[in-house]
Amino acid sequence: MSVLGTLGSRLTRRLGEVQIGLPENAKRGEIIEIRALILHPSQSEDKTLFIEEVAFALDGKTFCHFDLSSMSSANPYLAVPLRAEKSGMISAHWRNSQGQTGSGQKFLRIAE
Amino acid sequence: MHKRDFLRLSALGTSLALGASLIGTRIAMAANAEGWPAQSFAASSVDQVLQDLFQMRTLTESDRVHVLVAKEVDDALSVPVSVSVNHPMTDDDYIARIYVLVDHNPTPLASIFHCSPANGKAACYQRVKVLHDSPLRVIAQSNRGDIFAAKPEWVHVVKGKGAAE
Repeated sequence: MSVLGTLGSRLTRRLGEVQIGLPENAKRGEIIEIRALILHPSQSEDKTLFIEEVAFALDGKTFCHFDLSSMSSANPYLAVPLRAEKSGMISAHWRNSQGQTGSGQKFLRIAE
Repeated sequence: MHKRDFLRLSALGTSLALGASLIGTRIAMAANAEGWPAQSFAASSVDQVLQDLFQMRTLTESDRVHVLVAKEVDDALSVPVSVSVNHPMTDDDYIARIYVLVDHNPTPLASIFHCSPANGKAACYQRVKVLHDSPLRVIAQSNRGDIFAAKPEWVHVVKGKGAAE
């Protein structure tokens, strides 16, 4: 594969990547902040490609979600609260206006 | 298909499509979810959005909705907006939706945040486009249908990155 091909492949893999930020020392019952950065374009002139939905889940159970328009920024950076009741896998799933989907996840550890 | 079903199916379908990738993110094609409010997002004026969402019910300003947004921005394509609503988040009384609108954008409705008692607090952070000088509105709605509107915040866009002429 050419150098450009390799670079293109790497860029393609990063498109749609979700980076999740969680507090490292959450206590049970505490309200914590969950952050998600989604690497995804959004052109103001092109209303046909933007993130439409982002859902946050704990162990697969959705507890909140966003409906977004083309007026949300590119590379959406979102933060939501969660009452930390148990340790578990936090995930963020997105779907864009062309039906593509993606997700990211990170384990939330609650101090006993 | 219900939205929750879509999200579960899309995650499953995505995983099946690409296998056990070490990359945490996967992309696959999926059918459009029902439930995304296309009509509200297609509206080109704030009045149309309010008519569609609230049937033009009188929106009383409430000091329980707190909005943090810069009064002057130099990046019109990425304006941070932080919202919190002083309201209980119990199983029978909670904020169910938080709407963010930018009056003078071609699509005034920027987002709808759907929250639940599991959040513990009615709050969210996001970044939106503000393409022209414009009021930015935040409206919260409880599960009981009560509506709380923040006083609109005027955002001035310095002619620079992303600003519309």
